[in-house]
Amino acid sequence: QTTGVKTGTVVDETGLPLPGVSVKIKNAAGGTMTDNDGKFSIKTDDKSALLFSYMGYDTQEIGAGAKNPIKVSLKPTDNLMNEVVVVGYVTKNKSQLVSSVSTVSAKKLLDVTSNSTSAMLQGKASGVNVSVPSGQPGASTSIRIRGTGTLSSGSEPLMVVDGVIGGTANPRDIESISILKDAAATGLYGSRAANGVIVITTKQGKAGKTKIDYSGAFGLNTASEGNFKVMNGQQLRDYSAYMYTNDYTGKRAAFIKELQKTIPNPTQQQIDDFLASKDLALTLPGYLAGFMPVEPGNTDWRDLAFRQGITNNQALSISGGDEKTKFYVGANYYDEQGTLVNTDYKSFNFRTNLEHKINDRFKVTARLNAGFTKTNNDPSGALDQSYTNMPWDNPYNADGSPKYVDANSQWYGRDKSNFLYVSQYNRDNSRGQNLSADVKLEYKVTDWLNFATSNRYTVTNSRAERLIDPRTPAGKANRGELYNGYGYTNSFITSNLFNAAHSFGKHNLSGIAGFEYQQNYVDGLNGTGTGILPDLSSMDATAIAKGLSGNRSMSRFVSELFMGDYNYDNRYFATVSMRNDGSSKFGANSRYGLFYSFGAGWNIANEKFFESKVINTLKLRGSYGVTGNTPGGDYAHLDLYLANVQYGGIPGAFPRSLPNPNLTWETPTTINAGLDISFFNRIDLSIDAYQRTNKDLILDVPLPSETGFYFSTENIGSVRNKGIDIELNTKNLTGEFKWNTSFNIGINKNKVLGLYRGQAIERGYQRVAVGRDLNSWYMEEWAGVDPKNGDPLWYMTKTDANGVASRVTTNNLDNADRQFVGTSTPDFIGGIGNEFSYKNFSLNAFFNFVSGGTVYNSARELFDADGAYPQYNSMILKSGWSRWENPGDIATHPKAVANGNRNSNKRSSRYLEDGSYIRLRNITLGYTLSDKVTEKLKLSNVRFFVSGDNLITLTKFSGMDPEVSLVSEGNNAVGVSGTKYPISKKVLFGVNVSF
Amino acid sequence: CKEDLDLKPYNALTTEQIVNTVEGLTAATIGTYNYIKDPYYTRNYHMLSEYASDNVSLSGTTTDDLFYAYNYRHLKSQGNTEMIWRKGYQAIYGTNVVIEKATRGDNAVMNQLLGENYFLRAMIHFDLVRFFGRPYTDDNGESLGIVIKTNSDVKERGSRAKVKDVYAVVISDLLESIKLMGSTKSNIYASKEVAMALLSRVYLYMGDYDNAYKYADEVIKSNRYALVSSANLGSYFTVAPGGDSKLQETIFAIKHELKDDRGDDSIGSMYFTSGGMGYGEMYASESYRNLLDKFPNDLRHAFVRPNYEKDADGNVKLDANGKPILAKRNGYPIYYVMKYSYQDGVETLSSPVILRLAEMYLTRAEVSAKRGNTNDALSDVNIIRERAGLKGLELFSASNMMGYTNVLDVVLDERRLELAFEAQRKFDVFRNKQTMVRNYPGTHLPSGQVTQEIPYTSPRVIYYIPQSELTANPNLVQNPE
Repeated sequence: QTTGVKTGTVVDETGLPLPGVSVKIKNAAGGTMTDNDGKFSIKTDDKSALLFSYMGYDTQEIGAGAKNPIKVSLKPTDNLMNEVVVVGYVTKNKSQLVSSVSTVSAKKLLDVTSNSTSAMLQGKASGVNVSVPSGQPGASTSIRIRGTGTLSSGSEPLMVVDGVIGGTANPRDIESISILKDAAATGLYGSRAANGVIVITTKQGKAGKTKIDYSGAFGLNTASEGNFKVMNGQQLRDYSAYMYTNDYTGKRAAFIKELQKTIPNPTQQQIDDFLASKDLALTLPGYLAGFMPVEPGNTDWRDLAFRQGITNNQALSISGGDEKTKFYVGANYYDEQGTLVNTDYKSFNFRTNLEHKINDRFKVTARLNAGFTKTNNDPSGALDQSYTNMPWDNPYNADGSPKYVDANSQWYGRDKSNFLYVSQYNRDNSRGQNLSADVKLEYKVTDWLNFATSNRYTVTNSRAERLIDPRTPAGKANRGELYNGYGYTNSFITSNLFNAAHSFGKHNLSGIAGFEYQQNYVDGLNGTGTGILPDLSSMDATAIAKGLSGNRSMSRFVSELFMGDYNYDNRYFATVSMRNDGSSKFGANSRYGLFYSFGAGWNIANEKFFESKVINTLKLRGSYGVTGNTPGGDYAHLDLYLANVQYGGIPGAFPRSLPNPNLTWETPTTINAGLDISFFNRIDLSIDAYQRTNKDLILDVPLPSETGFYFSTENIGSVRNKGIDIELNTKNLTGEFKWNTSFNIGINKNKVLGLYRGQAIERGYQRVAVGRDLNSWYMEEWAGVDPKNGDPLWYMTKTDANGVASRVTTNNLDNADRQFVGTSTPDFIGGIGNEFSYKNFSLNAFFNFVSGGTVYNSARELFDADGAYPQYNSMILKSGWSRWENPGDIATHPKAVANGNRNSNKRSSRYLEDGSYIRLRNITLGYTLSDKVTEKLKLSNVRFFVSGDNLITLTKFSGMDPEVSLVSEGNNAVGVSGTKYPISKKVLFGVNVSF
Repeated sequence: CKEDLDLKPYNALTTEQIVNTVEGLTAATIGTYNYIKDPYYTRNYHMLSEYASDNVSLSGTTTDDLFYAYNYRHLKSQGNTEMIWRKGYQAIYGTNVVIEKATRGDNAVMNQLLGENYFLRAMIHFDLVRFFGRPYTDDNGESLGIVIKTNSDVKERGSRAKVKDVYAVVISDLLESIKLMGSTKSNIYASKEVAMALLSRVYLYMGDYDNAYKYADEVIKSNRYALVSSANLGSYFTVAPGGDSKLQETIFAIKHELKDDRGDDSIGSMYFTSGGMGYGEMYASESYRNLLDKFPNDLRHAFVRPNYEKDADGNVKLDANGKPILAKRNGYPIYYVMKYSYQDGVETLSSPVILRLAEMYLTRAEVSAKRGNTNDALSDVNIIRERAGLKGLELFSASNMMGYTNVLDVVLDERRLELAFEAQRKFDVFRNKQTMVRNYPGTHLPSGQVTQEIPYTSPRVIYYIPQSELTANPNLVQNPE
């Protein structure tokens, strides 16, 4: 038995020294830690075993008798509980978290091919509802974390990039995303944390060999149609002929009856003369000729409006460095040609992240992100016309050129437009640039105290152009029209933090204290000129300055923040945070607000009494806190006369808002309880139950118009969201054939607890009322079709002589009363992903799903309108639906009547449909070249893949797509589905190469 | 840092800055004119009144709620009624602030300003009460009208006053404004005679014919206005109002600058299209054309323009008899209405005329007819007819009634001919307790039917109170179904 000093080095998976690794002798007391160079020395005998452990890495056991010096290479652990999580201002080991945080790694994020980080988040974290309501490349998305808690204020979560509020990052530059859901995590963001926080961390170079990563994907996009189909030429003619035949028969009979008042038995000639005097066609075919062709054409407008698009995504990054300096440089090119004609989107993004240790005390970090986008929108109305235009109309001249069509053309379609002609000349495009620069300086004051100042300046510029060429119908009227809009924003934020950490035996204390200041500014200019020669598109080429408008606005925040963390022996955890926020958006009387949170956790698995072979992790978490939400507008608290109006060329001003010097933030209070448990090292389960009650809502209280105002902005009312988030990750098979599953689900119940004087708020198809879900449908209730005559029926309340009310049906929409008829809020949402791998092959399939909640299919007001718009095409009835034609028919759809059947197509519960769906968001098959081949090629990793996005959607919804916007705009409620730009099904081929 | 958070907007002034100076109050008054220029007000005012008349015929269906004003299938939540109610009361609030803050006295500028606000407050109350309250003549104003709002108290939740009480406020405001205002401001603003002209109309609508006559007569005799010449009649509506020129026909118009061109959403867009801009879906009705066509020389044909089919070279196509072939939309012949197009040469630009001298003559004529003063009535009618280029036997006299048996019918038909498409016909029919007969082609007719008749007693003569307002103010009562 030799006892001696064993020495060695511990390195990480990339070969870099790991300082701070705990080195212990198995079954014995004592131990040591590696120094800054990863070196250690320990006194032991050859027979003992050494245990090397480090947070985030698998513990390794090595016999002390190994060759001296011992070289140990630690591998990062797969155990999710040891994952390092960026929680905004600080970074924590997941096992030490007391708050509710979902994380999405770069790998999980990058399945769907898109340039939108938020679109890629869809379905990937529990309680996070992302909607991509339009399939247009570059279209914006909306995110709701754990439901919507506010009415008039913003509901989007706060974005934090690299520790600083605001900013953007290209998906390919992202290392990880953390979604902060409860107050213990979000509390530090104070008045801006009401809707949760999404923390994005971008990639950083690692010391060692310079690494080059290339990734390219190229593929085809096709538009998904959903269940919505419009009629072909013959179907439409049959449908129209039925309606106009009834119309003619009725009119003719009415005229003959009128004639018979003077001539009881008129001759055919007398009838013909009378009809002619009344301008009615003498025969049915003559009458029908005014509305439809005898031989219907069969133009497929949808086919003309849509095409196969191309997606091309190329990304290159170079990263590396040494112990003093690390760098990451990323470049990304994304080009998506839309499935709708004329639409496409291109973007370039460049990022440079630099980190340099000036000396042992000073460290400087600089980050630069520059993004450039270019978007082409369709300037021809192709989307709407692909559904509204009539198949009978031929868009082409005899020579094959697109036909010029205007209001005076012979054309069956109502709007007399041929987008193919307009497409040739008009333009609608925009460009955007954003530039953001971060400089962070860290100073190590003592071993336990650190000061960091982070500063970011961001500038964005945008330009929009719309050209109506003088050769087009609309351009003819004013010799063409050119619109230009320019927008600019800048934002400056400085965040200055002291960061302290100290341990006393088993007591670990850490905390931050700091100060932030932020200023946001926006301005813009929009101009329209008319009279421009063909092919030109510069403002100075316009003849007449028609319109000029603009905007300008500013806001500021000042904040002080504090957070303290306590951890006893990795068993008991506590955290407390406070933030004092001041904002120019608040009224003069209440400019500052204090926000706070507490959290505590108990890691039972680390207790001595807890010994389990089955359960590896068992942790309880709890938190409580108050955050805030700021008013949307910059000046909502002031009583203002807005001076953006004129009369007769003289400037004027009108009363825009009532004063509210007390206007302040709304206060969501969140309680969260969570459980993390893992079994067999294969199953990780997190369950969180929460309740968030938003009080003092910033509410635009609707005022009766007699007051002169639409609303007054008050802090009043309350909305509660409560629910459960579950995340489950399992390693089903771990052998050569690997199978992992990640599953998440969020169940959220929403309830309005209070409103101004309990008074309901009308929001288009919905009504906000106390005691109900925020997104409750409120409209006339559909009662089906009268079998006698095909009339539409609605329910009405009838009160008899005794005052007893009962529900009866009526065929007069005006008599129908409005009722609450369900909500658009889903019962639950979530996602499920499966990863399979076998040898060099891998297969990933990811589904997202939404269940429950109804969607108002507003497109049916137009296309399923029982004849209300006979000069638009109509939808083909979904299977199971039927049209009334003869007395006694039991049908779902009323009789089709030219120009409409008793307002049957107006708002009613008729058009509410189940909005549930499950969608295969992505499926990817990958093949990685074997190490041998890779080595021969002098590469470190080569992977080929084929990927499919949105290939399958299962839904009963009769419209184009059940995915609806979560944003209510103006008077439009959420959950309404109109004519939408369909989402794309994409099939892409790609390769990832690392050097 | 305290001051750092005290930010002021770049495009707005606080109420305090506005109400304490003449300049501020002037800007606020301009703001109120802007409210009535707003399409929410002007466009809907036009559509809710004119489209419910027998002058117009719609050639198809539309998703625009104008359809429900046109076909009388009113909805309780109908966008255009919501908008005009909303914008109307916002404008009234604007006037109330100025009326409360401005001090009357020796300052002519301040008095004029005050008078304009009284005028605007009266006009808007009058406009709204005619949409939402039954015609005064039905029951002497005993039914429910609208909320009277004559203060700037935002806490008050009013209820609907009787029609007669609304009229009383309108009249007292107009009388006040006449006292306060001078006669110098151009016809895009209120001034003394503008208020008198409106007052004449108010009295006419409430059946106070003596006062209607009195004020119409005063306006005519003020010599501020003159009928536009026969030669210029056709282009009357293409000339922008305003300016210093004396003796215009327009008493009051809502001026639209080039910046205010609403394009497809303009009033003119529905009546006319050169092809590309505008919709051109609402035509002169067969019934109106029959009246106009009685006298082929009538210069008012200029406002009804038939649209003919053209060949590839732009020449009008002719039928077998050499007659031009009328173009049709959905089977309906196209007769464009030319009162809201081509101001300053811009296709969809117009400044809707609210009051003009011709109406004053016709009001005088109507009262004369009702008093039995046949010669006076016909003489005023003939002034309008002569201006329309009619002469000799085309003019009425007691001995040349051209088939009419009743002088009032002569006057009302002339009023219809002259003021067609100027948002008057609907009120003229119902206040005279007549039936609106729409026995001509158009999408107002339910399928299979050939006429639509709305008796003046129909509940649909007026609109529903917007549903959203009933929610916001539970004191409001809905109109009968």
